Amino acid sequence: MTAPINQTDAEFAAAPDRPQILTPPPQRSRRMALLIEHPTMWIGLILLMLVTLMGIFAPWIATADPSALNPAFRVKPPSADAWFGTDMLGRDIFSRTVYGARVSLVVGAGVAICASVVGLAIGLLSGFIRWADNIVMRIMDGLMSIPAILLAIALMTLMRGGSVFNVILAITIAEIPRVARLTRSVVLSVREQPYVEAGKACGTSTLGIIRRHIMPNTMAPLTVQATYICASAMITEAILSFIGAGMPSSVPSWGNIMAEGRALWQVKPSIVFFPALFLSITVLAVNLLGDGLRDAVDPRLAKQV
Amino acid sequence: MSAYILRRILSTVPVVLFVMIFVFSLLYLAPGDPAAILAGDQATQEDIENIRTQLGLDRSFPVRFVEWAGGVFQGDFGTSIFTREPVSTMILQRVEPTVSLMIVTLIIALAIAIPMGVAAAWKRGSLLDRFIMLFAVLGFSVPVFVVGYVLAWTLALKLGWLPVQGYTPIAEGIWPWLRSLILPAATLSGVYIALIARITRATMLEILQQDYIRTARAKGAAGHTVLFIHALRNAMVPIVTVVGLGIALMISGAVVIETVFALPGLGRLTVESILRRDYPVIQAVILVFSFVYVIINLLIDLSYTLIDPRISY
Repeated sequence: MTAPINQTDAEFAAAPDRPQILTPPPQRSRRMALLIEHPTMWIGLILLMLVTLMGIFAPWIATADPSALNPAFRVKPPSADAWFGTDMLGRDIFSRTVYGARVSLVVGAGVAICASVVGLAIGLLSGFIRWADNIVMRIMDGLMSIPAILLAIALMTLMRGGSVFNVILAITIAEIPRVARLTRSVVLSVREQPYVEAGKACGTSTLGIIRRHIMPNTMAPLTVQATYICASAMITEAILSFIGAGMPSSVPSWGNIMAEGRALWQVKPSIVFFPALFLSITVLAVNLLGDGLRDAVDPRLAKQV
Repeated sequence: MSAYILRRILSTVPVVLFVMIFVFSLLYLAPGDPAAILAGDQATQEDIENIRTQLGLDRSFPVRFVEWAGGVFQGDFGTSIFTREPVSTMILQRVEPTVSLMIVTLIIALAIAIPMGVAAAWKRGSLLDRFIMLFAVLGFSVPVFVVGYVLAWTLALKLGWLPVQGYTPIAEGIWPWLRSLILPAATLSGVYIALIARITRATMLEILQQDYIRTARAKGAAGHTVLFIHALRNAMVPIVTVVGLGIALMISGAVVIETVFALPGLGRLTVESILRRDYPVIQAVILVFSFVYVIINLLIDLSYTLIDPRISY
């Protein structure tokens, strides 16, 4: 509704305090704004939720016991009985793939959380304590100079025998340096800010400054980093299992299913194909979520990565 | 200048030392007693102790470390538990396929990624830009072995254009050698392309907003001259840095890709050694790969002054 152009003074006087043309637009919720600006992030989130649900409800979704052997029904192509076919031991690949979501998600989330927490602590330590900085950062440089998968392989062979815990531990150690460096760089830039100086002048303790001023500044970049770490941890886990350095082959993880299909991929590509598809979609979902978070949390970060 | 070079070289010493201590600990802590393995099943406790003393395994960690490190610098990585061959010989036999794979991958990645990144930055926000960025996300998300199987299945197995698996040494001719490497290298370059294209785009976007770009346009320089001479030249330092850091991705990828395509390289050797629990070999491969990574990044750091004359130390 627009106001007429030729208004008399009386009409002006009678006009409401706030002309209707100036009514504030209905406040879009922050969530809606995010959805409109970052549709890919929501695609990622929805895909990730679907995979998570699949993992949680695996026993109800799976059509068979994922480790039940059926020697009479080996290496079958996809059919009505076995939707994704069966592997060399006659196990149902659909059921194994459904259960495989659990391993990937647990490893991805586990590594993201552990690496973030430990990396944050190390980054804060080296950002605040000068003498520790040199030592800690040299160790981080050393860890980073060993390619992540080789480092994880080395740790897995040391721990002898894979379990979910060992795999998470090995990949976490390989990912910690990235978080530590990021946190340290945030600490180094924030600690020079006037408000930190003001805080110090007011007698805030170092711990108080870390908690009140430094930590909140690390949260945004750390969340973004954590999603990327989650994605790369899922790939690393699959690679470890694929080359035989990860979970025991009885565990239905996507990497293990592919490892079993390795010898037969030329004749029976379906064994490799389905877990590969699910792995790719899940990692893609996490990466899309990460990209969206990055743009939403700090548009400046978008340029750097 | 030379002071900087010296300082930069010295700064790699702690890193190399850390890697060596880590890798040595791997063997030191590895499950299984090498003396007992060498002595065999029939050996008495006394025999095992004798062998232990002979090999010097009863000495302390620092003494053994120094001795081992001395050997490493002379190219002596010990003996394989499985084949009983010197590890250095095994590694030398496997170097060619891996180095070939990495060089071809690097060439493919640079040839595709840099034009992609430049185009995306130039046509910012366009459909082309979105498409290229989508490709970049996919490159990061689809694991290398998945790409490898898809390419091998379609291009080699179904269409028969390229050999499915295996490696032809360069001594048998350039063309067969290249044919055996195209598929694995194309696969391996996926992540690398995504990485380089992203950094190229980001850097170019920043540079294209600079005043001197506007000046160049204003004085009438052609579009491609501005893009490639004025802008890309100035974007080289971040790009080269990422290329160096990406070597780590390429090494990790090589371990997997050599398994998928049955290339007899260092990556394949790593995987075989894991399955055999051949610790001296695992240790040596990790050491070699890490040294290569550190040295390449050192050289890249030192090359900044050549790439960008404004940088001086």
